[in-house]
Amino acid sequence: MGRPVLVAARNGPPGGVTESRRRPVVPNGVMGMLLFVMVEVMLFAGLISAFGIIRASAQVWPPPGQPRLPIEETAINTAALLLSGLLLAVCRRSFGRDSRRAGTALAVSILLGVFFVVFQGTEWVVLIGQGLSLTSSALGSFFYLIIGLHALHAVVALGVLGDAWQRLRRGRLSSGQLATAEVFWYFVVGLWPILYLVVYR
Amino acid sequence: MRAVVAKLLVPVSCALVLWAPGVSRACAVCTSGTDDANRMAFIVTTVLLSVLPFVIVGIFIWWFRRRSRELADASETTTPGEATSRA
Repeated sequence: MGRPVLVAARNGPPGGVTESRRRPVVPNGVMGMLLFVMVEVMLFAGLISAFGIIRASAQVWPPPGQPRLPIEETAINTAALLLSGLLLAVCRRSFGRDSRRAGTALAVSILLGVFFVVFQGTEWVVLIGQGLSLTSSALGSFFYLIIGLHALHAVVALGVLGDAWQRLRRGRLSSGQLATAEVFWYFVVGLWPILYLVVYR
Repeated sequence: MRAVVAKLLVPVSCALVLWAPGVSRACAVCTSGTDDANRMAFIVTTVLLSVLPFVIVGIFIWWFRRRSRELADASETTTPGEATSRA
């Protein structure tokens, strides 16, 4: 793709560029994931904007009869997710040098991600018990829509990370495949503090 | 009469442009313009949704160019002999 291919042509054999010298600037998987993430950022930006306007229009927040969102408990969950992202960075640093350490870091990162999703599920059960549902108020509608959509992304990203971990164990994980999973998980991790501050506050 | 209308047209138009948005509601079914917090929320979200696509695409292009340069520099540091033997 682009310049590196031209450079390869300059340095390569006179007959032309051999296929092995063609190095894409970004692996195809990473490029696809980046485009997907860009679209998803706009989707969440739209939802956050709508939520912000509804919240600003409300005289009382949370709406009467609706529970307060568990901001303190969710802080623990936030820390777990951020730590998960950090461990994925550790995995990247160890990748190719110490596969055992990379595998452990990736596994713990996945476990922390699973903890995040399960914790959130538990939180939802409590909130539903307190009367917060999709149809109970604007808070409920937006909470389940925005946070639920993020949870859905987290579950799919965990699947991608799980697949990467399986490949790593078999010694079949390429750097590009790990980078693809990383982009997705960093999106999930990076988006969460914003949602936490906007929705739970 | 025409001269008077022509004279008044610009100042009246300007006055309407400045005064009308304050009393009118752009959307009959939404709650815009009800109070300062609401108005500010509309302004902030409009700015956010307008600027964000450019920021995302801008960051992507900047990162892509940087990575492209890095790869090109890395390729140029390898000598032609090395490149041929690797290929």
